[in-house]
Amino acid sequence: MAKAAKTSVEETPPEEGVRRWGMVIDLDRCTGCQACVVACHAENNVPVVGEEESARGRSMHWIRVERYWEGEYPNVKARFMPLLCQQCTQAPCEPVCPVFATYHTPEGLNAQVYNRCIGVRYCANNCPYKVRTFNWFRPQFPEPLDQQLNPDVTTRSRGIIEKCTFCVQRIRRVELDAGAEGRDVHDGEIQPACAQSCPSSALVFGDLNDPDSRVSQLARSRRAFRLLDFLGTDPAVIYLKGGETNV
Amino acid sequence: MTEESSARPSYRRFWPLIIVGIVILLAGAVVIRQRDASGAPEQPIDFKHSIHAQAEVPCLFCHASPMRSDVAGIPSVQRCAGCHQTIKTESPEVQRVLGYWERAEPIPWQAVNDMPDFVFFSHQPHLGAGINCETCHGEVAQMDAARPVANMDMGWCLSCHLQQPEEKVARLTDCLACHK
Repeated sequence: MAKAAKTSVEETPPEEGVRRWGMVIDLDRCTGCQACVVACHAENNVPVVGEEESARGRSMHWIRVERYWEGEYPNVKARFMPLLCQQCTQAPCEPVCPVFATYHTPEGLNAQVYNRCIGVRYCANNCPYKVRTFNWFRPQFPEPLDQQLNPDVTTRSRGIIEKCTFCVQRIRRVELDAGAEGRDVHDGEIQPACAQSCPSSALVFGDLNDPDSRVSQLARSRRAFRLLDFLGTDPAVIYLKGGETNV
Repeated sequence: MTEESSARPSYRRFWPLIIVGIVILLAGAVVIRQRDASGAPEQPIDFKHSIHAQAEVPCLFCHASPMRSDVAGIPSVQRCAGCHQTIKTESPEVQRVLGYWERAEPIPWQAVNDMPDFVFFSHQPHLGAGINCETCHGEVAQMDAARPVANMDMGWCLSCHLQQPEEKVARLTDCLACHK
């Protein structure tokens, strides 16, 4: 199976054992509570830029909750959509990087190598989802925030781009632990901080190449759609359309 | 012509100053690095790996956790005292170790190899792949104070990762395998 895939270009079935990390976000379940945003900041050492810089469009979040109002008063509905890096298979950010700081990993992650980044911001400008953030200043972690920095994640410096990694440090940890125990990674064993903290389990993470994984099952839902699908970016984040359950 | 001849002696006058400056800089570099000429950091105890290796103490007896953890582990004072409360208690260096033990203070060992903060490294998968300590750390059993034998830069890591079986190379040379 794997060998046939290498010779044929038209037909590219998933290679044996190669994972493609993906996420399903059920908009019917999202309550807009922002727990994912807080968890992401804590897990990935994402700095808080403050009100002033945020007003200049320099806010830094690897995941944000977009809020939409629908209808006229008094029949108003709020709709929420968590937006993070879509980990595009055909990522617009990748070919524009002049120094190959952003690239595609074998497991389908859209990675950013901070050491290589020279801060031209082409990737952020070419990202249709606007999920790449730039460190305009040296990140500050005022006390006591410096005491909770995650040692498994680099603290980025001024002048470079940073972005969601699907918590690659957690993926790596679980893979190493599973390897040490001589077993495969179980479905649901890896949880990015956002998915772990979601009180309504709106975010589900897993391997899209495994047809039995929970993400694959949810992705086959009638409600499934992908953001700006017409751009051909082939995102690995799949949304499930929200119905009438939102408040 | 006269101008040239007058300029030359003035240069010559500075030579001793330049040499003294270079010597001061080199001495300063050694002091700032706090390492001796072999590259071994200055340690609070004159600990000799060689003596312990001759006594056939395995690496993993003191550095206990590389088989199951990211770090190999600096032995606790308790680990030292476990043996040295009875062994070689007359040695002045051992008595200093026991002093730390009695005061319940940690020994301020200095790290020999330091990975940059942006690098993820775990001992466990390396030992799990059958690599022994000497491959990266050299013949520590022959050393007194441990010193780095490799500069441990990215090229050095890749020189081994690229030699691995073909099906593993893609994973082992992926940036995110080590960059975090």
